[in-house]
Amino acid sequence: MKLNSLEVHDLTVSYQHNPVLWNINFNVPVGKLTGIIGPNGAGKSTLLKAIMDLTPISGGYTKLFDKALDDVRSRIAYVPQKDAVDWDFPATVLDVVQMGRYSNKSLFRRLSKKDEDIAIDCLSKVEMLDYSDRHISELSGGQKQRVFIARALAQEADLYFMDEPFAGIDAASEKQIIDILLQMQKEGKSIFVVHHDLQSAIDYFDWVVLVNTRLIASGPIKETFTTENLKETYGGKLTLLSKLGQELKSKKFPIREEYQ
Amino acid sequence: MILWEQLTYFFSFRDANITNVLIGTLLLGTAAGMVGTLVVLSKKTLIIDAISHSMLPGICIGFLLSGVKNPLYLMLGGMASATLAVFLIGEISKRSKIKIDAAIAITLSILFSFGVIMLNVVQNTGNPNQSGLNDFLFGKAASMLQEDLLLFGGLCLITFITLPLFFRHFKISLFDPIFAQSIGVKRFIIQSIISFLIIITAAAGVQTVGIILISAMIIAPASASLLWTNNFKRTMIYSGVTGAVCSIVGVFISYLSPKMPTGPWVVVTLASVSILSVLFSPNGLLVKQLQIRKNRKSILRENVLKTVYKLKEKIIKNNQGVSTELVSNYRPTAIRKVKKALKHLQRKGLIVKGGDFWTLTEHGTQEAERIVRVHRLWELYLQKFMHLPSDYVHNSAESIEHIVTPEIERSLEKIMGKPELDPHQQKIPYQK
Repeated sequence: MKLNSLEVHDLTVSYQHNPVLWNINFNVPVGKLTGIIGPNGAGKSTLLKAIMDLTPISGGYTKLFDKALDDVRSRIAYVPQKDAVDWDFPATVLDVVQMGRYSNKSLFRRLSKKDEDIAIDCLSKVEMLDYSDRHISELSGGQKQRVFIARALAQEADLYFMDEPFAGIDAASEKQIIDILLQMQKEGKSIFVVHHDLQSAIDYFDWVVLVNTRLIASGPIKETFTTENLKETYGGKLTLLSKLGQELKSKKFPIREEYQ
Repeated sequence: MILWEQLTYFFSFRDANITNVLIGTLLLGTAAGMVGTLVVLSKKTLIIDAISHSMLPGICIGFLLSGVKNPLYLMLGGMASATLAVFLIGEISKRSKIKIDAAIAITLSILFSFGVIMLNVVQNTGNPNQSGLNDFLFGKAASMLQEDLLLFGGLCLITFITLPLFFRHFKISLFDPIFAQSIGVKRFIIQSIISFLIIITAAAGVQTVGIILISAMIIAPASASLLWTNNFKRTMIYSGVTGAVCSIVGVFISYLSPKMPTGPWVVVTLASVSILSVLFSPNGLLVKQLQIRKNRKSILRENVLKTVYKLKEKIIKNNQGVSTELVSNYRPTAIRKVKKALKHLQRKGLIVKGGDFWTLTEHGTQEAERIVRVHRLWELYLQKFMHLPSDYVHNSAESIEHIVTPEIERSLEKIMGKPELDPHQQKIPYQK
């Protein structure tokens, strides 16, 4: 059996008792460029955050390369939404990309010459080398996203999670980023991209995960990206699930039994 | 002259008391400035006020329990109640609908009121040691003794060791906390370290600047420094230096009149630096104003030049040039300003004066033609790509013509080809 890059097992996440992800189960093989697709508020970003242990989960577990996150953390890179950070922070483009060379252990040390070279190299891969000394607030949306991608490249990971990298950027940047992603895939990396544009999804990805609070389908894009599945994904939430969610929230009821 | 003598005496290190005060202030100002960088960048400036104000009840309890004004007990008490405040704010905002700003306000006012009541109780105990306890409200640097210096200096030293050690943790957590967590940095630990640093800095500062004003000492240097640099490390260094210099100036002023508290003078000095920074820093108000004025002048000059060119193109058919009055008739600006602009164009060699009439030099003609060309090409561009009717394109082109760089001009020419006429059937001048 082929190794899975990501295995999500019965994952349930709730915010203040209101479930945003119900019993999600799927596996994705190594080396896929996967689109995580669903309408607004479907829990796509939450899914990534839950996998990366950035948000508490109510039940289930996830495995990366068949291991727990903490055992493979150095092989995983996560790219947050670009609006999640303060772009007025006193830092240059190069500063941000160099952050990709830090790991939790190496934070007490200075970066080595080799680390600095890798950062420069990654900046040139996203064609932002000319901007290396610019303050980050001077960048356009597409350029900001490319800086984030460069930082992720500098992490030299095997698996990449990207939260909405195509949101609010120009067409040229989008093309450039998708080329980089395809190149990364050629090098054997596994990439997961939260995406909401159905038009481009079919061209970009070779695997899709369709979610809307619950999992609709997961699999190779040709078999999974069907009109029927999309209708179900975008056809709204299941009324019964939403009602139950409201009930849990108003009564502060746990979605799993809590053991004292 | 007396001021000068006092100044030299103050900084001569001959007086042991003053030396204590100087060293203490220097350490405190630096520490407060540097820690302030973390606070301002984590956008938690409100919490400092809560921390400092809520130290008062702890200080009073420390005094009641020990019965002496030993700074160690007072500081331990103060830090304990400040820690309680941080904990309360966190729990209230996490567990109830009350938002963080309201939680800060509630905690601050309750603990501070409690502290003021206790201060009154202490003052009525008749314990002779209590005199001077209310100096903690506005600070009295002059009262710093050798043992105080050891304690406060020690607190500052903890800051000086912790900041470089966790420097990179702070940098990535403050810029992108989610990314920091994704590589395994524990958010709670970093936040706790930052809170701890704020608490010990505030504790170290209460004797010098007092509970009420210590927050300004932490926030002001960092806020001012951020206006001067785009580098995290440099922000921290500038902030430390600003904090140190301003505190010493403040302490010196209050030394001149011993009845005055130190805190307000330190804060007034810091405020002056902040105001100057807002005005004079690279992105400051003054620079912006100058840029606006410069733009206005250059637009006027280009418009005057263009008018001379157009008058020659259309109205004046002879070769004698145009008078100042004629140019002014075609510009909505005051004639005084038009005159100034013409003089400037003359100095730049774009126009020459013969008798009462202005004529364009060759260089001037080229420049005027460039402006007219950009204007007319832009009108065409708007018509073609933004589908604007021809009577709508002039006003936009009127301002665009002054900002188009040679690079944009080249692309504009490339996109539009080399059309002969603009939307108003006027000839577009090209370089020969």
